[in-house]
Amino acid sequence: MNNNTHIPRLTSIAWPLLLGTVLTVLGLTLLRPTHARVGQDVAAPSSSAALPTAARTAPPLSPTSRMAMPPPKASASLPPRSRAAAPSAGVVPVTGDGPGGDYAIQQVLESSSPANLPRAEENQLVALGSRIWLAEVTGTGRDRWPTYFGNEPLHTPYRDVRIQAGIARTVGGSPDRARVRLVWAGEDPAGEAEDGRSAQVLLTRSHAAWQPIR
Amino acid sequence: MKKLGCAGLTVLGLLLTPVFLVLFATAAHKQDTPDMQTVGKVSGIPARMLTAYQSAAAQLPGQVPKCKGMTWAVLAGVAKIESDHAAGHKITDNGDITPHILGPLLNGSGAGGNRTSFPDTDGGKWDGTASGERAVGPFQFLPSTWESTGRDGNGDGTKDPHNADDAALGAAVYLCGNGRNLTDRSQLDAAILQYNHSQAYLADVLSWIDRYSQLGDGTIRTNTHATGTAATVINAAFKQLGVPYSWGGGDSNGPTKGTCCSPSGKSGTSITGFDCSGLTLYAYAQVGINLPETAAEQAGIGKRIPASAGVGALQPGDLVFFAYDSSSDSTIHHVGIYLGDSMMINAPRPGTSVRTEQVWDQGYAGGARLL
Repeated sequence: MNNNTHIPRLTSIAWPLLLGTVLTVLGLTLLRPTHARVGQDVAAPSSSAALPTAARTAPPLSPTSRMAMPPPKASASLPPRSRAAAPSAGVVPVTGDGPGGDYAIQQVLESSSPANLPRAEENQLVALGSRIWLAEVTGTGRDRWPTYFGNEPLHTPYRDVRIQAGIARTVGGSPDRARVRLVWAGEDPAGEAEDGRSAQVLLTRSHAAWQPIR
Repeated sequence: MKKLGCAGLTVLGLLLTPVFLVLFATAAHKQDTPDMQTVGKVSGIPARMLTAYQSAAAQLPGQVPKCKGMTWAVLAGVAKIESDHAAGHKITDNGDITPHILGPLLNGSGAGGNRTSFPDTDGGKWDGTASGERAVGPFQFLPSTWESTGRDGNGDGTKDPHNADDAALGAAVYLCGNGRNLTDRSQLDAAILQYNHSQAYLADVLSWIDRYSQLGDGTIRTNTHATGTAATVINAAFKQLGVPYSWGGGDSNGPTKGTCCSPSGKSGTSITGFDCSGLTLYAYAQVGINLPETAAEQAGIGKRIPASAGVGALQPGDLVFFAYDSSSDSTIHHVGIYLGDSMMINAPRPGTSVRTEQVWDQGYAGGARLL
């Protein structure tokens, strides 16, 4: 038996201690709850058989509809109360309200970000984006944009699609790039009808002509 | 041999501790992974269809050895959008589905708004018509595609697109192509777009693949039970199951006659019930929390849980929101109460009642934790 006890020098135990610390932190990290990213892209697109004559079918909007929505109110300190009268019609959209309620969605979209295009140009871009999106989800009209859609057919289209609302905003401050944000309703291939679906179409302008890009 | 002195034992202990921690963490994670029966139940996938998806994923390596990442969740995501897992149809023990699932006639006539024309290839063998082509079965194969892709998934000697096992295996083979790596998101995208070339389809299928995957691997926890104030909130909402939707209805005391009107003119004045934010306002009032009127305003209360964190970040009792633009809280239009198992209780829309359902895949905008 070797009775010679050897006291390790500080430097000879430093590395094992450091390694142990790193592994301890790793182990503790693994024990923490993790939250995976859903990876759900809100970018949604779909289309309908009837091309809207104008993306905006809502009653004329007041200039104030382009104002930003007021911030949510905190009311945790208020005493219990009965609900006040419901918000005025046209402000709070609701799922399943039908075409008659689409203008409320239009108002919400318009208020969600400051307008940065002339109204007439924005309307044109929304109309273009709507036609492209209809082609995206029904297959109808894809031949107008062969580069964008390619030759792949759509064998299980979405059905009974309508564009509920749409806005267009420039991208990155460029006057030649725009994002059309749409809300649409339609029936998926399985027959599930949903409204309030989101979609985005990116457009770029070249030689005065707007074209979709991926 | 040197004896380990005190310093040596200390060093050994420090080195072994993290090893044990890692082993413990791994074991704990495995215990959180639910069994497939639970997954099927909470996901709403019929048991026989789930069996078909699992069987196909297990058989796929023998069909396309180079393919990686084919899972039951990938097949379930596709089938969810193609046929809602054969909803409304009977499935026999051997996987046969009746009545046959048939898509619209693709003869360019404009059925459902589609004017693409596919010439007839099967003489009606699979789709019942010789005047054009219809997608068939739970995975909605075109008969022409089935001729080259169809497989015998249940070993009965036939390749039938109306059989759940055959169709699932055929879909798995088609998605795998020449040997895709479906764990690579871009290759998974390409596979789904090849299946049906539409960005809307891609987004919808991916959202369900992700949902099913997270239920299967425990990211979305199952069999969770609310306690304390969360249980009080949920129980209060559950007592209102079946109460009609009423625009403007509901307050801190319970269901009320609503107001006029929704944007399209639907009135709640003759209906005693709740709208979506009225139900949550009532439920939280039972624990002394006074919520604001609208869903968008309720998102400003408590700790905001971003949509990017996923459904798995929610806990029972959280508010859950839906928006037209998930990056903008001002576009929030609906709110429910999360129950766990990717389920929520809510007052969905006019014409419905307070009910439980899967957290919507459309417009998910995260949650808020107030408890």
